[in-house]
Amino acid sequence: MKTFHRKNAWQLGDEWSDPFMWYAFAVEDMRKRPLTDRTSWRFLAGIHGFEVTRWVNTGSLGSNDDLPSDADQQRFWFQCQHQSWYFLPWHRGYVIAFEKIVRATVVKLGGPSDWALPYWNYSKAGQNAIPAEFDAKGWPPGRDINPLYSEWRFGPANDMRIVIPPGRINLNALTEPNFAGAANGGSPGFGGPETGFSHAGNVSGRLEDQPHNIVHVLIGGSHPHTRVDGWMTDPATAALDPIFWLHHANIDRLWQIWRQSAPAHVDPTAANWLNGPASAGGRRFSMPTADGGIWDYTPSQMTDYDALDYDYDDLTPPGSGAPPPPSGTSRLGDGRIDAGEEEAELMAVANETELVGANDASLQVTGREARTAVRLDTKTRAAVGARLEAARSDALAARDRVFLNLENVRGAKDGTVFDVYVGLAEDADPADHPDRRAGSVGLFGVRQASRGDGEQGGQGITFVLDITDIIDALHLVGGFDADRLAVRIVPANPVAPEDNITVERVSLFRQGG
Amino acid sequence: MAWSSRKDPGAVILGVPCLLAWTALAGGAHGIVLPGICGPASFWSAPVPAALDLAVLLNPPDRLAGSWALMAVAMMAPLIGAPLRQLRERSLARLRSAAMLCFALGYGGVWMAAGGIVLGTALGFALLLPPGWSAAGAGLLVLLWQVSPTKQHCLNRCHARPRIAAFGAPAAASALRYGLTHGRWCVAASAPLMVLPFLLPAGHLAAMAAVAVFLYAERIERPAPPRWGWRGTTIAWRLTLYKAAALAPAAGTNRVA
Repeated sequence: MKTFHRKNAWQLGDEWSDPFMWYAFAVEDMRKRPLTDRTSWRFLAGIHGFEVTRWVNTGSLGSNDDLPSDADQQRFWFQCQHQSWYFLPWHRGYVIAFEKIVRATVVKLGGPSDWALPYWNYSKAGQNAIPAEFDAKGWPPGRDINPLYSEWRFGPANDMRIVIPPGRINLNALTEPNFAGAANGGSPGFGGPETGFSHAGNVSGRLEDQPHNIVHVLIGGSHPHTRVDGWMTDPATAALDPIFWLHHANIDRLWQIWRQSAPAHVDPTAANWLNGPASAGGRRFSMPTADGGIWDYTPSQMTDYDALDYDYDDLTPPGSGAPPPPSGTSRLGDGRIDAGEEEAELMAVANETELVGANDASLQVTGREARTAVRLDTKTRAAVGARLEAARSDALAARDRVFLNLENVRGAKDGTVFDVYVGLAEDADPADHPDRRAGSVGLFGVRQASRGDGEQGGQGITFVLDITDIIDALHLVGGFDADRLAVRIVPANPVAPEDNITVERVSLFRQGG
Repeated sequence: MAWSSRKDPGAVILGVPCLLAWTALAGGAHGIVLPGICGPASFWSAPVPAALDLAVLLNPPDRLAGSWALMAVAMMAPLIGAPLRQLRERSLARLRSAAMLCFALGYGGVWMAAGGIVLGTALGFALLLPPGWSAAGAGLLVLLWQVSPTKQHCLNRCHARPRIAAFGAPAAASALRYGLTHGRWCVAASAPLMVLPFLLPAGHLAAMAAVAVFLYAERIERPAPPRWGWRGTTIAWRLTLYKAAALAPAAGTNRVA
């Protein structure tokens, strides 16, 4: 039975409607609790990530603060799952636990017992600005500063205007046929590659990458002068920001939209996914309860949406309500595939993934642009072209998917967003060729992933972009017949040399059936 | 790795030589033989070159090298699944076998070179300390190494995945370099422990197997900040306990079979 209803933050009525007022009161109350209190605002944030330097530098940890006990840190903290097929189920449980604690606080303060967390649908036209309740220092009670406001929220242009640029986010992940993918150069899957316990990994699932990771960086940004990253920009501080929870409610909602948008969109049934990483020797998923107790859960408890006690007011897929076209399957000149063939193609599992080519050296990204060229293996490139050609004339022919990999991106700064273009001529202006844009990526988590003795062994993060349609279009005009494919990385804001942003290898993979 | 639900062909590719190596070790000599005139009591009184000549005679280098190679294959094969998978996935299809072979050459070369150091260290302990004391003495030093931050740093570097060139000679060179680098960190992390089985008066094979299991359990841990302290093999222990609990009647658990 659905007791709690999560609603669109932009459609709750006038400013400072009840859900936001009570949320603000609860945040204010929870922030007063000591860090050692499992139901405190900062304890809950530490579950996602914690780093002394970052917390101190962003005013979240003082010399008078006692850290939680070792036992509590080992049980609860440093737990968030990223670059993993556990990303979605873990965050669902995290948001559920948070919502229950906030609700209990709301009730304690005299509010409604059915309070539910709103979500921010930044993809909806006209709703890409942060809700006003988060954007002003003042709030109705007039005391102190609005608890929902943050001075560590700098926005895409680092000017504290929090407006998500529509061109930098997309919902292409919703067309991904399979939940689980692999970290082998091909599709990482809608939900992420199969891993063990993964507080941080290498390859993100498609939904985690877009829009999750990039929205984090677009909201958080960096301080314009000190260049310190905002809360949302860095996994170690992200959950300190009250907007984090509305963002993750939206990501959770998108998971359910994916589930409902095609019969083939199902969650994994493998025991090691359902039973969680504890079944393979990893840590279990543990959250505090409203009374300070412990709630252990597994993905098997998160996968049945109907069994959950909450729902969303809008689970309409983006577009018109009809299933969106699967990424990489639009056919030049042939129009849309009908629903039956589309589903058959979606259900074909791509088994074979292989490298088509790679650039010759590591790429340093500095300033306003970085260029490289992917050298293509003649035989493999020809095979990709032939399969694209065959698929154009035969709707039932297996069609390759093509992925651009920015491998092992490392750097000292998460507050960086790139637009990536392929197949541009030497003198072309990227702004004139939106059709050649492979996608936009945000370097959420790259800093920690770059540390040699960090949990990821210094591997950085690999970004995987589906560029099948671009390659198809290039092939049609003979632009895929050359030995090299130009790749251009265009940062949204100039990258400083001291940020040390590097891409170890830029490569192209094909994935076929 | 332990958590994958997918059938991994690498498990077969590495499993077969691993099993064969253990079988060969079970059937052959794998310890260091010291003649009666050698040993700590006589070491300082007997003419050292003569004692050492006899030690070498009883332990011909080619036999030692052969034993060492078998030991390296048996114990290290399970640890190189991840880097071989990385090479396979990130190389052109037509160059995969060559890449993995180059890696194996580099990796194996480092381990063969390390054999001289490991066996020499074991021989040194055996000559300098009384039987039983040599193993205990080496054990104390190995324990100190195990809890050191340097050991953790070496383990962390075993998880590094370097850039792999895609074409031609650079592809082979990068795979070879990967093997050499990975071998170097693997030797640094694992070799001290491998001295111990040679110093035991009996049960060499069982000791080797125990060390091999421990090294694997260490390797499946995630990288961690280097610091002094016993880091344990938490994942392996948790997995063992989880599987054991799964065999017990499940009351009120949310575990899916």
